[in-house]
Amino acid sequence: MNNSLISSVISLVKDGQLHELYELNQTYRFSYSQAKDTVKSLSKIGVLYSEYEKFSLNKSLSKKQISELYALIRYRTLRLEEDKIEQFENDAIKVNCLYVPNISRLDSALLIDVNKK
Amino acid sequence: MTLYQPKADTAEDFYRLSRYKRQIDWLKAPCYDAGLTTLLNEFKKDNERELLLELLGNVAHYKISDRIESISTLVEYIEKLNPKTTLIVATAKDSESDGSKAWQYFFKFFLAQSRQWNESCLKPTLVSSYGALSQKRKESYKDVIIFDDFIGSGNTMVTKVNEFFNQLSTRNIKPPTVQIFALAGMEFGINHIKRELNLNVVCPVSLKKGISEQHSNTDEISHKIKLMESMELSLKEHYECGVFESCSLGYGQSEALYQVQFTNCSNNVFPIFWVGPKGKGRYRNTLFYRL
Repeated sequence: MNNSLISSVISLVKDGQLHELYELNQTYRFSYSQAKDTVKSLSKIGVLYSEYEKFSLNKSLSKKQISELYALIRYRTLRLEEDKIEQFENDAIKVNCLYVPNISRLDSALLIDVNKK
Repeated sequence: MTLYQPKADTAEDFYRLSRYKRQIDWLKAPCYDAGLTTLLNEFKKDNERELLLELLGNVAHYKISDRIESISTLVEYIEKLNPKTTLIVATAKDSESDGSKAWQYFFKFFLAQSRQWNESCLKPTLVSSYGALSQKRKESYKDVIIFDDFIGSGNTMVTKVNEFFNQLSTRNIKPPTVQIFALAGMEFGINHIKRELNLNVVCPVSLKKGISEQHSNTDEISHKIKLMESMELSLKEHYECGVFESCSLGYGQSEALYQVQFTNCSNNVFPIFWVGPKGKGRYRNTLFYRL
């Protein structure tokens, strides 16, 4: 199992709330199989509670479970995707460069409705 | 490849993958998730999705090991021939990395078991066979098996075999008995080869067209073909990709639904399943992949 995926699931559930597999796709671009299999694996060692598409962090993890989880993610690396990340960086425009922003790509929470009085 | 994986447009579509995987066994393989999500993002209408599901359900999907096993069927025919006077020739061009060469390699495993065949009977290209056929030897070659991994419309095979005979004639080589072998092919393409060349064709998997030859009702066929063409058009406009024109409904309008997992997809397959636009900033997760 890919430890980057496990790490992303832990990042999501650390708030203690109930989450859905779909959130893993929207937040971390997990495929359906990745989301399902990673949650299933973490449920198997008791780190998560899961039912159908929903899952949450087990709030009373034993030392053994924490140790198993640590063993799974301690060597996480992004090396495989380094080249793609580097490509994004190279393609980015310079900090002081003028540009016309593509507003449609911004999160709606960042937009101020200029027509609103 | 997480960075390039698509987000599903809705939660319903994301979970729809689970339903599709239950309905169609080969979709259970995780390698198809990204392509399937992309198709659902691109085609949202009920009739488009119904057609997608129908086509996906009819895909002749194989694992590489299944196809290697089927080579033994072809070798059964070959073993009836004389090992000393038979050549098995792949249809690849000299400089190509090609499916016919790749799959021809697996003949070795089966031929080696009979202890009578040797490596020199396998030629990776038609061009490389001319030298062997023109060689002066005790017994000249009497049989040539021309092998391709997949027969689509059959046009390419007809052209190549005609060229083969022309080259033999130019070199004053007495033409051997030629047979065409393939691992799989479209039924109409196989019939085209038989009609045009009047040669024996051996092909263990014969496929009917994905839409035109699946229904008896001509209105239904025409409706589905038009729907597929409109789906191709929407992708062509979105990705500004000309391949959708040259390969509409699959190269030679083959309407093929055939894929061997982890191998290069044939251009005879419906292009919505494999066309990936090239160039900076252009990317499409496809169900099948083709270079």
